[in-house]
Amino acid sequence: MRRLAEACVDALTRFADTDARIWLVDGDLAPSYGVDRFAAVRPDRFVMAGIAEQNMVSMAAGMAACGARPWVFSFAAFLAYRAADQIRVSVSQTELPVALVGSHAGGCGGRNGKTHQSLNDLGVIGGFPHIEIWTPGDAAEAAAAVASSLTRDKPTYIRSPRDPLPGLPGAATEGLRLLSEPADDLLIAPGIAAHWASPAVETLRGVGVRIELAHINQVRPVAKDVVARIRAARRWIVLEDHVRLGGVGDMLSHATGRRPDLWIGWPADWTGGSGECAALRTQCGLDTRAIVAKISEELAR
Amino acid sequence: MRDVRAFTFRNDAAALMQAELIGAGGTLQDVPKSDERIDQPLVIPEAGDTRGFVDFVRRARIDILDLLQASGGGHYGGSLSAVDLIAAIFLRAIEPRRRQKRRDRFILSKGHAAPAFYAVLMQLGWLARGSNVYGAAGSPLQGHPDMRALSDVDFSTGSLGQGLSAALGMALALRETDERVWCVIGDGECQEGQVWEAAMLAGRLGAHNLAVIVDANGRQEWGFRVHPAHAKDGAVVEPPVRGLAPAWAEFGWRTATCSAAEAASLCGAVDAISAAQSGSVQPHLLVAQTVKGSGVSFVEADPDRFHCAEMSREEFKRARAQLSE
Repeated sequence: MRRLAEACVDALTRFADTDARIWLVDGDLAPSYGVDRFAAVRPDRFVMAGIAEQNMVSMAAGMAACGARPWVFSFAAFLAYRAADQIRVSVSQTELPVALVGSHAGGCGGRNGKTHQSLNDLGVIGGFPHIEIWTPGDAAEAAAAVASSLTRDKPTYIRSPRDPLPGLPGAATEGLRLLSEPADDLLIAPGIAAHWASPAVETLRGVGVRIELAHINQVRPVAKDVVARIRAARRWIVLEDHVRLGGVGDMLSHATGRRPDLWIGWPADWTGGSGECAALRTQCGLDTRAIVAKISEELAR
Repeated sequence: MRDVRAFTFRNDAAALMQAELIGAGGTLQDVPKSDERIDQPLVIPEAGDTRGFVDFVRRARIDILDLLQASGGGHYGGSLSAVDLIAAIFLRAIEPRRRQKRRDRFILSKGHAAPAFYAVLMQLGWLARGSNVYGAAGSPLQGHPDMRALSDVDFSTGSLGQGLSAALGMALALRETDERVWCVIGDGECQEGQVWEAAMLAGRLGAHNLAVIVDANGRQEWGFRVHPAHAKDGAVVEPPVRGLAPAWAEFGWRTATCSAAEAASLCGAVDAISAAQSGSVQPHLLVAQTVKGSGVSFVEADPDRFHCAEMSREEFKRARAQLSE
């Protein structure tokens, strides 16, 4: 079980041995996701930017304009919302290779509650052109996202939930990652949702309902095999740790020309709240029982 | 580290090509024909040549007028107040070092003064005049400086408050080189919180290779206005920011002031910063007292109107005449 943001930090620490371009820039949340470890071994490539996300993002862009590869860490909420104009103007419009790691993304913010949750960070950041977007489902995928981003000169956003996640079965892969037996109906569950989906898919199989569970690490640009699979599916369903507007389901709808037959995620009219992940999921109809019920109902139509 | 100028800028070729004139609502009739302006000889004053500096900025002001007239108007006030500062940076700090192949950076954080920036580039011979219309679709001369459109733009600006942060980032990335970063900010721009985020961090980090000049023209678009009965010293519009230099000194900056109206004061202040930088552990702030609309009497007299405005043909002729020898 690893926090995905920490896996990013570990990957960056390794790569920094041979890649002098890498910098880590943090907004005073270092211990929350292991950035303090990088700071300890690479003080020459670490910047504590303070509680000042707007400066942090534009500053990183200035670094990138001089050939550096800055990795900006904060909570997804503070990057996407507090620094939205900076991401728009300093990163998207310039197309500079700034990488943003949004930790504590999604609805499972624990005690912190609504200000610290990010229910539509993909909607905000995804609305800006040229930013590549990743929703890793485990530590290996987070590391793969970092490695991949470093091979291109493009802005990047990696979304990492607060909770540590176990490894997904199999290996990190590009494009569509199958997490179950293939089937005619398709369930796409990016990021932490892949772990929410697994027990639901198992329960459904137990009552003879077959659905193919797939996960995507890089959601933008979306891989051709993902588009092809969605178009070929009998029905396709999305389960995500995001609201509908601007989420992965929305992005895939645009990429494929096909809206999901069923979408499951955080309610559009919920501003968030404190709570254990399990409690919030139950409250919002995202727990295993609710997922099973919704999918069964859809597939029975 | 790889130099970002190795990027292919899509519109770089366009900067040197004769592009088709796209009407941007301007009156082109009285703007001297392209070939007249292109043939203007380059006169780049050496350091210490104050007379030469004064003439350089006079000619740059004419370029500002021509550029804005062709595009249907724009930010006269803030461009005319900023042009001396940009010229001083390029003539005293950047251009001489460019000849030595070191590449200092410049960020115009008050991006709406882009006409002043483009005018200085034209006077340096780095930017062809041709028929690139300021603010026209596809033009390398975007309304606010765009590094994707024009390769001499080190960083895109236009959303006030962001350029200083980028300048700090550049200074950090370049701190082990001998390259310097210059940034011009507006005093109105200092109302943006992000400017203070950058100022605090720059002071804390000791960004010695960062120098900031504030175009302190005392104005913004509308301004904080007081009833004449309560006006201090008759000033109905309050200055946009107070206590800038003392606050930044507290943050760890070396601060100085100068008068942009006196070339020797401005150039001397820029020279002093350049000389101090290699031995310094602090970023430098220069508060330059400027006049919004400086150089054209009726623009100076109406800073409200000329924050962003159009000139009539007659006004354009009068303004140009004031600046011509």
